[in-house]
Amino acid sequence: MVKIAWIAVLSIGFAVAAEEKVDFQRDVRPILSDKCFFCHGFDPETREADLRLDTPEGAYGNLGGYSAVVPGKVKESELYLRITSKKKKEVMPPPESHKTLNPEEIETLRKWIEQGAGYQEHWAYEEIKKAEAPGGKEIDHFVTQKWKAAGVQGSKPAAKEVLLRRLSWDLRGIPPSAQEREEFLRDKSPDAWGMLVDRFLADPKYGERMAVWWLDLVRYADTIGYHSDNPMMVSPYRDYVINAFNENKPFTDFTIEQLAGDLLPNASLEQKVASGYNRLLQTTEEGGAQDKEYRAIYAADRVRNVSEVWLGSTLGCAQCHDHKYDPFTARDFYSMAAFFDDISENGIGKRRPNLSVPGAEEEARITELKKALENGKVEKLLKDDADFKAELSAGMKTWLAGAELGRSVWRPVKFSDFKTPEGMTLKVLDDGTVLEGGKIAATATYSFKMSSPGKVSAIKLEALTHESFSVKDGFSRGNGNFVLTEIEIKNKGKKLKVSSVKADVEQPNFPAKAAFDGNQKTGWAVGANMPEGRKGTRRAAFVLEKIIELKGDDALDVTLHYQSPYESHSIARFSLSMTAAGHADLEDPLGPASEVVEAFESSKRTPKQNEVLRNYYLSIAPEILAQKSKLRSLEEELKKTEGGMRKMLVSEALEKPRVTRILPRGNWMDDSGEVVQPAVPEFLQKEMWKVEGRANRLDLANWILHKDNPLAARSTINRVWRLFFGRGLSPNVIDLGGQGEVPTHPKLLDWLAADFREGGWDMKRMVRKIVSSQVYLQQSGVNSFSREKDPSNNLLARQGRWRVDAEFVRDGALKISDLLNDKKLGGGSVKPYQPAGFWQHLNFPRKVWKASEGDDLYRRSVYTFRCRTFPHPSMVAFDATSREECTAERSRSNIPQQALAMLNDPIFVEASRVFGARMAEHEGTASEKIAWGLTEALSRKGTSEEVELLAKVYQSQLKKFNDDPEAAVAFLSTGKWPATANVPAHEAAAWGQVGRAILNAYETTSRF
Amino acid sequence: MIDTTNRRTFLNQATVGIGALAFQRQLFAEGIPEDIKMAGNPKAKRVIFLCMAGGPSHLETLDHKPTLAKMHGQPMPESITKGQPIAQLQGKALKCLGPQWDFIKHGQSGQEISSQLPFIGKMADDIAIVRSMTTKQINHDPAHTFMNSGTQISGRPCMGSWIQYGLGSETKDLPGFVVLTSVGGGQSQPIASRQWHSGFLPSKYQGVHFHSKGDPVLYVGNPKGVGRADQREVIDAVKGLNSIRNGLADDPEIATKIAQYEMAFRMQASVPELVDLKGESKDTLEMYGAKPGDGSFASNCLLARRLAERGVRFIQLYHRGWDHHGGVKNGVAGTAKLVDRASWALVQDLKQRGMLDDTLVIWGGEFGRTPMSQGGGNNPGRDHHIKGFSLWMAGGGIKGGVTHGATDDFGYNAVEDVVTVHDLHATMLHQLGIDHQKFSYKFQGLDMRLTGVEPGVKVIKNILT
Repeated sequence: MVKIAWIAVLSIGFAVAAEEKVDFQRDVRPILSDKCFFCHGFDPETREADLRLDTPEGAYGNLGGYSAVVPGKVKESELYLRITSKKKKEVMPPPESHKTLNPEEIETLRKWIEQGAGYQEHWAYEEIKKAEAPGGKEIDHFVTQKWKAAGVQGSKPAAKEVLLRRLSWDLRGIPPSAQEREEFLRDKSPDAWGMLVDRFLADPKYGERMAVWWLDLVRYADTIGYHSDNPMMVSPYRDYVINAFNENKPFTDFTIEQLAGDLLPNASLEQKVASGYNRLLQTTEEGGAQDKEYRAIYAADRVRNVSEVWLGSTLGCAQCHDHKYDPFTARDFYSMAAFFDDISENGIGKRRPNLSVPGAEEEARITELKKALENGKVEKLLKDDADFKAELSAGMKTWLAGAELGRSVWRPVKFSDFKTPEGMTLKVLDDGTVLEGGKIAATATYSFKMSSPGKVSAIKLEALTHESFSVKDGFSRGNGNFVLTEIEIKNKGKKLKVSSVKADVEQPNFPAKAAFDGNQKTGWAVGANMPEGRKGTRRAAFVLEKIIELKGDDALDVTLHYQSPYESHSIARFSLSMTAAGHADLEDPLGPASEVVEAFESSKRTPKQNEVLRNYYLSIAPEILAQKSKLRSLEEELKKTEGGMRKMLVSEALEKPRVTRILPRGNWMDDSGEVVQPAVPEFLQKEMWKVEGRANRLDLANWILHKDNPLAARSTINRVWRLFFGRGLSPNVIDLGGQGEVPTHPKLLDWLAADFREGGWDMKRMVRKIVSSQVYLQQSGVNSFSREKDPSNNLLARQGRWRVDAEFVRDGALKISDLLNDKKLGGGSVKPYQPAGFWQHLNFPRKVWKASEGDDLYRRSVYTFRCRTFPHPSMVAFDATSREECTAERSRSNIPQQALAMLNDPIFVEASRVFGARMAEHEGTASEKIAWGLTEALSRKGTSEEVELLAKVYQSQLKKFNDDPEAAVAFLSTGKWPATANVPAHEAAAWGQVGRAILNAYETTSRF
Repeated sequence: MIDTTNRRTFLNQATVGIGALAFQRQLFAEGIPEDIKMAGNPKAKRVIFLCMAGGPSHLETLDHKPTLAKMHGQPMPESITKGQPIAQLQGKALKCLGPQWDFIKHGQSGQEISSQLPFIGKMADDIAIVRSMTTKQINHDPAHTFMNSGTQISGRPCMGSWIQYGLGSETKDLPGFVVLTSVGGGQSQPIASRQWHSGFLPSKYQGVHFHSKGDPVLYVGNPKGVGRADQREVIDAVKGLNSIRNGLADDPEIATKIAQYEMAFRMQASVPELVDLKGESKDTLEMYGAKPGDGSFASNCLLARRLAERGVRFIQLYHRGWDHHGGVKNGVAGTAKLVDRASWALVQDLKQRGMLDDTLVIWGGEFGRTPMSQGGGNNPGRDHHIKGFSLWMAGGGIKGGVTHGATDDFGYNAVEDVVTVHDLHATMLHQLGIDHQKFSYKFQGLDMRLTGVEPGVKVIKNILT
């Protein structure tokens, strides 16, 4: 009986098959493309026998009395004869191509010829058609149509808690908390799901989650990629992407701003940041790399990326020759490259940031500071601020009424204990100054003691001339010039630190501060005949870092060094004095000029003298000094804020773009190729491409988004679909072209693409539609139908299930342990723990990974510093990409390195022990704590079997750590987060082990 | 074994969680899959690739050029260099630099080898020297990428991953593709982890980098305060949770996960055992010149033998120290000292253990160096050079005592029996029993091969037994 039934089925199957019309797109084209086009396709260079099968003209054409394909006539079609030939020399494809047609494929081609051998444009290049469907239920409509045809029913909706977890992973990249679960389960309102979707879409974590997807496409990374792989600054671009998803920026603006934000009129800061997209490619600084070669490499990199990201096309394959499977020509490749030849950049070498990007807080502060600086200018206050003026004139009155002219009062010192080089002498003159005598030596060092009781905040050294000197108005007994190479002042054996110095005259390159830099090769010098300064006197006031106090006969030890190569440059007459004036009063430590002294002391002042006094007062007025010091600190803050702003690489257009040539066979050394202008692929230009003059990146973006260009909407929505089902409607999400895969649901794909476009390219709207469909809500479990008949889930009769992306594996662990730092959005890239020495093979310069500090250790993984040559190893274990090329679909491996990372990487150990501490601190018995922990991690109640299993682990580990308290402390010291103080160490450690078991369970990292 | 062309379709099923594993190539070897097998019997089971990173000067190591000595100091004929790619000598005067070291004839074969490689010289009759290598990339990073993956585009699988993918692993306790690194003797050019990346092949075929400091394999050590028994207990708990879950979900990924945790646990024991050289005799250590734990090329060669013994399929050693832009004379001598003896010891050790016959050893850099001098003066060097350079191979069905191919009188262009990187890959695959033309993987709609899509790739038959 069974046997008979089978035969019946088969014969019916055959009868249906014989009558069934083959679908060129679905059935025929993939065979021709995969098996024939390599030699009989678009590329004339590799075309054999002058036959092309990609066009009807080629297929039907006369080959000399016969044709490859004669519509309706199988036996007259050379193609059919050749593919069925048994002769080695005749059969197609030729055996050496290692491509063979199986019987089903031959049968399909036979039927196709029999049915008229019709051709259609490849589906992806056809215009998008929006099929009719019941409003609001379109997705379900198209999917159930297929179910009906196949006689299948979809899977039942998954349980509420499963759906919550699924949606949380899909929209936020983290699992829901136990509390979120409780709230959602309690919410019985009919629109509970819709509200949840809205809530998650409004969560800033949505943008961070979507960014992980987009950044893979555009190959965002923090390093240049080649050779030294040095850092490049682009992190504001990453934040732009996050914000764009969160603000739900239309995909049109999102596209235009990235490709050509810098070309927009009055481009905003945000638009400029977006144009950083064009700088994300890999570049080199390698010595010996050739500019021309790398320009060609960069051009290809950009063509590959822009065509893969926005067109779902592999135009990049046409670098050396016309594309084998799609109508792209090498000319198209170079014409696309030409769009980017306006970008200002060097071929080889450092990528220097060309934009500073303030954060919101920085921006506000900078505006504030600039305003305060402008308004606080002394000139402005003197002009406009009545209060300030009144205060100032009152101050001046008091000053004039006082007995003291300056605020810096210098008191003379008493010298003793002179020590001089042999033959040289120093003696104190009657006026208290010291005069050098005796032998004139090339170099000299003097020391002596000086005393003057009272506080000392500064010491003034005054060089003076003397009538006995051979050079008039000179200061030394040589040529009159001096170089003081060092002054040392000691108090009770301890050297006093000098914080600043003010000198009235300094020779270029010989500043007074060089006299206390500890270096005898530098010094303070003046020339006797320099026009500046007062004749016969040169002064320098050394301000001490700390004010000291001298009592009674306390003396300072002073040493003056004159060790310069200039001979006999010692100061031959000098005086020293000290002041106790406070630091604020040392603005003019040298005191006023003589004309001020005269004016001050004059009993009858001339108007000129009043003017002199007023000007002088302005230079010492405490009101002004205070204001100036305030301005200085504001300026410093401004400089610091501006300097601390993130910098980045953005697009900047050259006035004269570089010349783009077709490189024959991709050879960068061959200059013989034709010069091309920027243009989009010729076969896709149709009516859309009308540009006058040289087209630019803005034209490219507008063409990508043109309503008649089907590729951007189709490829984007196909990829968005994959985020929510694990597979694209056309499963090859990178390439919709000839070697891609025909969509499982072409009408649905087109409907979504059309709706995306008509609805204003609104991403959240599309996401909401997808996750609100019944198809999305299905269970993901496999039933006998899907296992046996539809293992690829072509009919979408169940949901997908998978291990979440590398970023979310870590984010999930941080969330479950409550370590996740979600207070901050965006910012510079951060460095979580990484094994020491992991960067040892990077060089020029050598690099060391220094882990971030504090909260930055626990930020979401989208912010982790992405090094292209050595990406973070535990992220790589979970298939994070190196961001060298566009990735539309990561592999999802299941390898031992994942187990090693989850078990032993400090971040997962730390998350486990902190999660363990949360369990320990939770109310209840050990079993209740475990049950709570399971719900927190898995969004469901743990089974008694699971709880028992973990309780055993707890008891056993508790005993172990009780017996070995040092091990407990060691275990709890993994990671920077402090161990809990509320639970004894051995308990906390045992709970940490329970935490490890739960975090390592496959379910914890899976979306289902 | 399934049809290669449809493998991608099956891989896609992995994303929706149905038995992907069943359709992929098995992780463990079951002989060479029919669809990629070459005619005849394979000679080699494994490869040890001693990568002399930085680009050793063939003119001071394996390619004897007496004519170049006569031309020393003379301008290089423009007819040779015109229009050729050039690295750091761009725009500089190009003058010949004669060989800086003598060459000595060795063994019965009389192969000529530099005086600076006395140990390699001793085994001249065991090795085949190829003097006509060429490559397409003139800078280190892309040249390594080209040598490893056959293309300079990032994101393509390297040869070790290809071989893993084709043949599977023979060890259940260790990764099947291991990379070891050492430095010394010259400028240490960086080396990127993409050199052992699996590209578009599944990540399980990726090379695992062993470190000489810290954990030999990343994360192979237990957390602080956790002993092996505790680790076992945690893994058992994970297994328990996974088994309970699998009872409900029936997801093959869970079963795989359980197996991978067991593999990880075994690695936690087998890796420390592997790198622990205590069991090696004093004689062996002396033969290699290895001091346990020093991270030297010598120690790595000894580890390579231990890895080979344990069934690791592809073992790649990088010694970063051959970039002699200046002072090529002393530079080559210095770096040679660090690698010569151990290279010899490895081949001899394999031989005495009967493993040389099925282990293919390859010794060479990503490119050679110019016959022209770089930086004149007393201490000249040589720039990167791609038109002709040398390497040697031994074991795994390679004929000893032969020299294959030749460069011109200057050592500039390979002129006789030119060998490309693709030819080298084809030969390596051939020795492993794989027909390189049949060995492809569908990516971006193309049948990708390690040996590229262009025709004309050939196995170097002359050097095969």
